[in-house]
Amino acid sequence: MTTFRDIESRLRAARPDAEAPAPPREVVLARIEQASTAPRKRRSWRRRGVGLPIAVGTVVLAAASAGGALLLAPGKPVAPELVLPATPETGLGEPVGASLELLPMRVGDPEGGAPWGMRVIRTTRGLLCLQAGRVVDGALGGLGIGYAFGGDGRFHPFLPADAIATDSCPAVGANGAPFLPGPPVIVPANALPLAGENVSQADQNHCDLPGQQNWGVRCPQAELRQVAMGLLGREAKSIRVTTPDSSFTVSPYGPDGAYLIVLPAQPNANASMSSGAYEGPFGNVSHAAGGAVLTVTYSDGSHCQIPATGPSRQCHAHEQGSTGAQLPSSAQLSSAVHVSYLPRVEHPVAPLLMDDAAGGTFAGRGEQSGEAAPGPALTVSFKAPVRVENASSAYVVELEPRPVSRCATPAVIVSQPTDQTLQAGASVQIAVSLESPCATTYSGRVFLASSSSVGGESGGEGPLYEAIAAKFGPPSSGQGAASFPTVGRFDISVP
Amino acid sequence: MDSDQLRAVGALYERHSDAVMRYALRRSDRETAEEVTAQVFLVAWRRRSALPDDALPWLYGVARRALSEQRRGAARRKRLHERLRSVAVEAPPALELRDRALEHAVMRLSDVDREALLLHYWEELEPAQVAVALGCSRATLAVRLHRARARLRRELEGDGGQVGNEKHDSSRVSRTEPV
Repeated sequence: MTTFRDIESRLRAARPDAEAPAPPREVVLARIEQASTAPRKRRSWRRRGVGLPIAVGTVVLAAASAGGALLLAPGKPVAPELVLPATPETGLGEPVGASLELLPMRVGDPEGGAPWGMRVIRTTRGLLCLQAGRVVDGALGGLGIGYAFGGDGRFHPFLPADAIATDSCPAVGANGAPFLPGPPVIVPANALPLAGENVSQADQNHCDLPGQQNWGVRCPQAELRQVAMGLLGREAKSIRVTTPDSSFTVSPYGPDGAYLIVLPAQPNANASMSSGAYEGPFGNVSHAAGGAVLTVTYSDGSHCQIPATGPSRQCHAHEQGSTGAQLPSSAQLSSAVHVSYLPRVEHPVAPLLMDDAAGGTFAGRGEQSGEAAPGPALTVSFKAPVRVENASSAYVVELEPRPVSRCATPAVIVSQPTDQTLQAGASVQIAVSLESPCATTYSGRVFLASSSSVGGESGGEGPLYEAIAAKFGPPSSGQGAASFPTVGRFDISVP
Repeated sequence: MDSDQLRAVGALYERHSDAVMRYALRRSDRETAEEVTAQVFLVAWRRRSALPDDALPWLYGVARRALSEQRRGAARRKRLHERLRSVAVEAPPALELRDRALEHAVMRLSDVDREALLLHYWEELEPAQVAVALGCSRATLAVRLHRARARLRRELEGDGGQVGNEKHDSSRVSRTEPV
């Protein structure tokens, strides 16, 4: 019989050693000082679900403000809770405030009240982000109902910075057309899926959305909605929304083919589990079984599904010239590439992809939090031949080791893409972790990857990652995988 | 930022950065722990008006969310890769203990129950402080701790100390489902 005392002793004995020093005080204070003077901040923890680019809706109401909204008294804004320093030239970039636009479409809530709407905002790194919420007096925000804001019944507007979230920022391609086929997800009627984090620290009215297990209290079914929003492009002509009980058709809105669909949550959604990869306290709270399916029809008569039941049914951008049309040729990109071997790197960044000869994932040393285990690496250096000006293009290194008998080697290793704006002529250095300790020769190349309006369920890294993965994945994984132009090639033997 | 504010956040860092670093390091690799520690004090500075007098539990709460975000980033990368191969994805490991049976049992607890236990036994917070870190009431925390210990005992006894027993409680295990 195990006693509580046994468990306590065992837990205490299992406590890992943690003797590494914290970062130097001066380094952290410098970051804080820098952040204190930065003009904009990007939130790190987002209201997942509402921030997600999704699909569908019941009825698209007329533009302009809807009634009901005016009955709500204003409350305090939904402040970005936890923010990171602004980085206008890295990652997603900073939001460009002047580009914030509340789209005129309004969608009724199943139980009435303030309608739902969506807004877009562009970033300094060329992305366009979507966000949905309730609309009152021409502003987007959440409602103080259910657990949020202590149920004060007021309207709480979102701040402009809140529109940025990695899951809801499709790339804008060379033709300026964004694309993001967002699936239906479960969000609360108050439009504040992560209110437990953002607004309810002082409340005792928490409840768990599907997949959350913070408080042990399921949100009432009546407080949940199925919401989908996204951008399908001008060629999308109609969206058929099918639920187990009914189906109806809506028309995408505007030149970007925007859609916003709000439905009652499917039965027992409040007891469903998340489909997310990480079941964290504020993790992927949005998915539940038995949700609506959207069938998109394009002007050329083709169809696709959101969410797709197979690769052949996935939605892809239909814009003319939207796939890699603006990429320079390899001749224009030619640049000298230098490579060096490092026998051991303590904290290498894990490669983006590493495949075995059969196209599966090579069983390497493993990774945690994006970091590979210590081991050998290559450092690849070159001058950027052309400017990389947005989050839709990046330089990447591809390695092909020569097979070695009786020593497992991956068939291909693809580095993480560069993650910042680069001027032409800038020095670029990319480190690639080598998963095999075998002595062999690596043939490599540096290429310029680009994703033009080919977004999708891109996870946190944006459509560019999707485009790169599609090129190196199995044939069924990508449609029309891009051919990326080469900057330079190299060979290196490692001991 | 004026010099008083800088001194105040510097003092906070002097007082608690090692504890926050240890907290993060027990749950991640060193580089992640360093980044999380820096983020925690950035957030503390931004929200300095909301900092309680007993700041450490509050800082642990921020660190917990920062770590979650870091793990989600890794999971998204993995999901992207695996989705291309139609393979179900599991969360990356958050803990690696020498006592593998205990690790297995602890990882089968819900996130918040696990965190309640570890804040209490590893970071040595009092239950009232754990409640602050987790953003719940003391009464709720007391129930959580009791429940977590009971579940842990069940898991350990049910497994018989063996690693890899796949007896799942479907109410607490993440799984892949279509929408």
